[in-house]
Order: sequence, then structure tokens, then C-alpha cells
Amino acid sequence: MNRSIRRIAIESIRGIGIESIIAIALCLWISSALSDGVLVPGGELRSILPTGTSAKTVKVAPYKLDRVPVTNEEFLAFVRAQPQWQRGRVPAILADGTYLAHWSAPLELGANASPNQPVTGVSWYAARAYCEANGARLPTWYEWELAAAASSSSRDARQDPAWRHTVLGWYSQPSNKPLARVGATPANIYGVQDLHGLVWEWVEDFNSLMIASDSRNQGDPDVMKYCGSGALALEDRENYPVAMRIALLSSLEAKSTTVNLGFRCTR
Amino acid sequence: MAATMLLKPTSVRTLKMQRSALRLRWMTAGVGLALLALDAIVPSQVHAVETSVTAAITWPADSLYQVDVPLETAAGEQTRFASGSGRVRIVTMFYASCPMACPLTIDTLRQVDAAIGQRARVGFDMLLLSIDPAADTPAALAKLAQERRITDPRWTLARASESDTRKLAAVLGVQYRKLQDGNFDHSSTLILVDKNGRVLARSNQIGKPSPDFIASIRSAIGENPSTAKSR
Repeated sequence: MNRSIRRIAIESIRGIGIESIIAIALCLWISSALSDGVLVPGGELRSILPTGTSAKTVKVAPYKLDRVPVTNEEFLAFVRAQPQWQRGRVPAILADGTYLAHWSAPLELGANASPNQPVTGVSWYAARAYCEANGARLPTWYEWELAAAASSSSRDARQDPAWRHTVLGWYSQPSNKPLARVGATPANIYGVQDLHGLVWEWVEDFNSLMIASDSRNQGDPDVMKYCGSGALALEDRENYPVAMRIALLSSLEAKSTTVNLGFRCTR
Repeated sequence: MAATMLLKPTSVRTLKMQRSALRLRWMTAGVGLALLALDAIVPSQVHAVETSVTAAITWPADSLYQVDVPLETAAGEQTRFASGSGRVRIVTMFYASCPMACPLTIDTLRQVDAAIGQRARVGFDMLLLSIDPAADTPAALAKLAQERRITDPRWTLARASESDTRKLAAVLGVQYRKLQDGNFDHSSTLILVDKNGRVLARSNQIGKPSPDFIASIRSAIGENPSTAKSR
């Protein structure tokens, strides 16, 4: 591998410098466009979750987030390639009884599942397996939260009343309409879409969403669950969409599937 | 840099500039190609296929051993989560530098052993899985075992990869969250598992083992048939 790279390097240098640089840049751009992931620079995140220490922010390393959630069509291709993940074959402990229930057959989407809708009815294990099969992983909670704080013009629009109003509007859409297709909501400043109001999404560390007002209270599971007194410990109680998301994710088991819960991957 | 490359050699000074421009081209091409190579190679190395579901052994649909991940023990042995099958087991999660809850958990497990008694407890094993695999190397686990005087070969301290640890916690119903200072918020649960990996009982009570949990262990190892629950 080293020899051929050196040969390529020598040959590319023989040519005009600018052309090879442009070619390299084009290749990088094409490959990143093909993978459909958007680079999110990361940074310091003021999370809705208490940090459990004296720090007010958490550090999020740069990452590549899928522009839109995984679709029915993409998930169908996955279960074709990995039959152990087809409906009817997955053991109950890895996906509950409503796994891909909206598909007309284990290998057929049918009338209630259009190809470009975000796939739902998938468990955490299934979502993870899909991402792994694509050389990726599920985003962490912080990665989701950082990307979701952005509007189309600002990296952190969470204190902007106009933006919060817009986001709440997306979440209050009546649920009797069929699920919209992916990619129909405006992109945020990073170019990521559908983080709000389309489907809830799994995160890698969903079972870390335990709200403790005091990190010294280890070992007391009731204090650390989200419901009840734990809810008061969230740092920003007016961020209803994010609070609802935490409420949902912390109430689920890894095998749970719901009709409004999908996912996307991080690379 | 771009302007430098377009110059044609008309003088000695320009020749020098063109040589440094050539060096710059080498570096740029090298960096660009290295990036290309990384971009292409890294994702494919990360590519992984779910192996546990295609395992040759057919576990019951509700068996925890459907999640059969590799483990590394305190003795440095490579084993798997499902290697404990065929035996009744208590599984819990902990981490070595845990200040309070984990020492209590270990103590609770000791009390379980004491309650069951020396003769009967050969019927089940203890598996303690670390939620901090980065810090809890086999050496660190062995050191903890030494400090806590864990000498019974029925007790196994082990770790998995970061990703598999999250998966084990998910299937065991354990919650944990790494804090910025390296400590963890976590739930403390004892899970009693039968020889096929099915959960027989769970207990969140640490400090003193719950009598119901003790009773479940007894019936699992065939000690107290009159209180055995049908499975």
C-alpha cells in the first residue's frame, strides 16, 4: 500500500500542482457527499442534563452526522443483507412484538411504509446493527443535543424565542397525518435536517439518561430515574421538545419499538 | 502557494522558489493522499457484522445470551458472556474506582454467598462486569480483587469493549452515565440468570440482600423446592 501511494504521489507531483490538489479536493468532497454524513465541528455544549460536576459544559468532539434519518428503503436493504434482522426472525429480547409492524411483510414495505419515510418500529439493537453494518454507530446523546440546538443561522438557537416557537410548532403537528418523508424540514447551520418534529431517534447511550441532582447519590436508582423528582433537575425545563425526548428515551428498553421512533447514524 | 507554482524558472532566485514550491507540492500531495487513504480505509475497518444473533447455539428468545459479547477477565483470559451458560449465575455491573455503591454491591454478594451456605453455593457463580472498561484493565480488576479479598474462583471480574459494555447494560437493564470527572452515575442491580441465560430474578437492593432474591437463588439451584416458582 505504501509503495503504490508513493508512486501515485510522485506521479501526481509530476503534473501541475494545482490540478492534483483540485482533484484530491474533489475526491474528498465526493466521498463525503456519497456517505451522506455532515461534519459537525463539535465544541462545548451546555447540556440540558446536569453534568454532575462543577463544569457547566461538556466537550463534544467533531463528528459526522447523517443528514436525515435512516429510511424504510435503506433499512429494507439492510434486512435483505442480514436476514437475522428480518421481522419474525429476531429474538424477542432484541426486538419486541411491534418490530417493523407497519411493513406489509418481512421483506416488503407495502402501502403503509413508503421508501423515503424514516424507518420506525426498530429497537435499539436493530438500529445499532444497521449503523455497524454501515461502518458507523448511533450518535451519543450529546452529539444529538449539540446538532439539535442549531437553527439554520445559529449554532445555538435554544434561547431564541422565535426558534423555540417554530420547533414547538413542528412537534405539535397532528399525528393523524402519515409520517412525512425525510429531508423535508429546513437544514440547520450544519446542513442536518429532521432533528425536530419528524421522528424521535435512538441514541447510543439512551440508558445513560438518568437525571441525578447530586452525583454523590450513586446506588439509589429511584433518585436517578427521570420521572418524578428527577425531572426537576433538568437544567432548562422550558426546552420542552428536548425534555420530552429525554422522557421518552429514558422510559424505553433496548428492545422497545414504537411507531414514532427511528434513528440516524454517526460516522 | 498557488502563485509560486505558476512561476516559470527565469532566474536563480526563481529556481530556488520553484524548488520550495516542488517541496510544497510533495507535502500537499502526500497530505491529500493520506487523507484519501484514511477516508477510504477507516470506515471499512470499523465494519462489523452482528455475530451474536447468528451464533450456532440457539438460545431461548428471551435469553440474555443472545447478546454474546467477548469478555476479558481479571486474569487476562479471553472469554464470552455466554460462556457462563450451563450454570446459574448472578450478574451485576460495577467499576473499580467506585467510591460507595460498588463496594456495597460486592459486600451484598458476599452476604448472598453466606446466606446460601458453603455447600449449596457451588451451584451458582458470580459475574461482575465493569462499566469502565478503559480504566478497569485486567491488572486493575486483579488489584481490586486482591484489595477486596475476592478469592473464590466462582467470582469473575471482567470487562468488555466500550460499545459492548453499553450493549450488556442494555440487555441487563442497568443504567450508567460517565461524568466528566471520570466517575459514574449508575444503577446497582443484581440479576439472577438461569443456565440458559433467562432472567429469574432481579434486585436493586444493596447493603443487605433481599429475602425474595435469596429465595429465588435457592430454588434456581434446587435448594428449596417448596418455594420454587414455575418457569
